[in-house]
Amino acid sequence: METAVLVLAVLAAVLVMACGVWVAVVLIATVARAKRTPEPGTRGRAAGGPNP
Amino acid sequence: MDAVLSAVLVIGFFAILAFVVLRARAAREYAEFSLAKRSLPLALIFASLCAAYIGPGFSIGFVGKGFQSGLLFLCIGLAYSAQNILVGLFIAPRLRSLTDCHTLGDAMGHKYNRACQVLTGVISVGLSAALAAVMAHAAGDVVEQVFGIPLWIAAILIVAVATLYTSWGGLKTSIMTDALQFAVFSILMPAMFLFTLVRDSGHGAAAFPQELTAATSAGFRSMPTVEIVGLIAAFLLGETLIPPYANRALATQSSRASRNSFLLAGVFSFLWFTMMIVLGTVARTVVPPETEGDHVLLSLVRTTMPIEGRMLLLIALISVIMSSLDSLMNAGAVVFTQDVVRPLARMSDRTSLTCGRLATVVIAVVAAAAATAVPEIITGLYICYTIWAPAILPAAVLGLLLKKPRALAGILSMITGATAAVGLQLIEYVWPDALAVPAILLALVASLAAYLLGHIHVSFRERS
Repeated sequence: METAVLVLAVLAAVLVMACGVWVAVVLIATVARAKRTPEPGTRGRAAGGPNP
Repeated sequence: MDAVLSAVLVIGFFAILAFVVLRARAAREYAEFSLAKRSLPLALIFASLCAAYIGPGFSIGFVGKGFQSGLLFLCIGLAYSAQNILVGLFIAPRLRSLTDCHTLGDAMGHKYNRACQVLTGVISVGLSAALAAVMAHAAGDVVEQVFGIPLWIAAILIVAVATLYTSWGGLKTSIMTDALQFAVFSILMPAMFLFTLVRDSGHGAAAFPQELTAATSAGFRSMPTVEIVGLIAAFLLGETLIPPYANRALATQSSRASRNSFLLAGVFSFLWFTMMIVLGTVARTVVPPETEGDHVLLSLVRTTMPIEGRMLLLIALISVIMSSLDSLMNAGAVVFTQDVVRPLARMSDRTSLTCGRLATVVIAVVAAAAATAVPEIITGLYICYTIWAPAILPAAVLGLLLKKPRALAGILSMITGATAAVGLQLIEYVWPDALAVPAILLALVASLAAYLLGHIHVSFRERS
C-alpha cells in the first residue's frame, strides 16, 4: 500500500509538471498574439491615422 | 555569490511578471476589469482557478499536515476535489448561462432581488479581505524565513506588488499572471519533490513505509471523528463559489468551458494534494520532529537543496501566494463595485473602473494591516470557510437549482447562516469544548432551515 502511494505521488508530480508546461505554452501563445494585435484606437481611421 | 544569485533569480521572475502584465494591457473598460471580456482560453482559466485555490494552505500547510498526520489530510482533501467536480457538473454552467452577470452577487440579484445582491456583496468583500490577509501573512512568513525581513514589512512588499498589477489590468492581468505563476510553481514544486525523493532514495525510501503508517495512525488517533467530519464539510463546502472562483466561472468563453475548467481543476487538486502530502511524509526522515507544521517545507528545502534550488523554491512559493492574493483582491474589488456600489448609485463605465481600482487598493491595505493578526494558515482559512459556507451556499446553490426561488428565503438564509457561523465560532473560541458538532455543520443546518422556512412561507402566502 505504501509503495503504491509513493508511485501515485511520482505519477502525480509528472502530471502536475505536464499541466505546467501546457499552460506555459498557451500563455506564450496568448502573449505573442497580444503583441501582434494593436491596442484599440491606436491605428486606422478611428485614431485619425492612415487607413491600413 | 549566494546573495547575487538570489537577487538575479528574484529580479528575473519579477521582470517576466512585469512583461506579462504589460502585454495583458491596462483595463480600458469595466467589462475588461471585471470579466476580461470573456476572451481568455480554457487553459488560462483552468490555470488561474488552480493558482487561486493553491495558496499557502494547500502547499506549505499540506506539507506540514503530511508531516504530522500522513494520509489523513489527503482523505480530507478529496472532499475539496469532489467539490470542484460537483461545481463543474452542476453549478458553473448554470452560473455562466446568466449572460449579464459579473459576480455571484449579480446572479443572486438576478435570481432573488437587489437586497440579496447587496448582502452577498457585503459578505463576499469581507471574506475576500479576510482571505487576502491570510495570504499576506503567509507571504510575509515565507520571505521572513528566507531573508530575515520582518513579517509585516515582507507582507506589505508582496501586497504592494500584487496591488500594482491587479489595479492596473483587472481580471485579465490577474488571470494571465496567475497562469505564469501556475506554470512556475507546477514545474518547480514537482521538480523539487522528485529531487528530494532521488536524493533521499537510500535511507528515506526504506523508512518511507514505516513513516507513512506511523504518521497516518497518529493523525487519525489524534483527531476526534467530529473534527474530521467538520474538516471534510469545510473542504467540501467552505470554498465553494467564493468570489474569485465565481468570477472565473463567469469569465469563461462558454458554459462548456466553465464546466471543463472546474472539472480539470478538481482532478488537478487531487494530484497536487497527493504530491504535497507525500512530500510532508518524506520530510519526516529529514526534518526534526518538533518542527512547526507551517515551517516543514522550508526546513526540508534548507536541509536538502542547494542554494539555487532554495531560491527557485522561494520563487515558486511567492508565485503560489501572489496568485491567490491577486485573485482575492481583484474579486473583492469587482464584487464591491458590482454588488455594493452599483445597485445603490448609478455609475458610468469609467467611474465603475475607477471604483474597482480604488477598492483593490483598499482591500490591499486592509489585508496588509491584518496580516500580523492572522493565526496559523489553515486555522485562518478554516475560520473563513466556516462563515462563507452557511452564509452564502444554501441561498446560491438553491437559487441556481430551483425554478422559482423566493427572495425572502435567500435573505433569511444568508442572515441566519452568517450570524450562526460567527456566534458559534465565538462560543468555540471562549469555550473550546462546548460544541459536540462542528460549527460549520450547525450553521449550515440553521441556514438551510431558515431558507426552507422563508420558501414555504412565501409559497403559502402566494397560494392563499
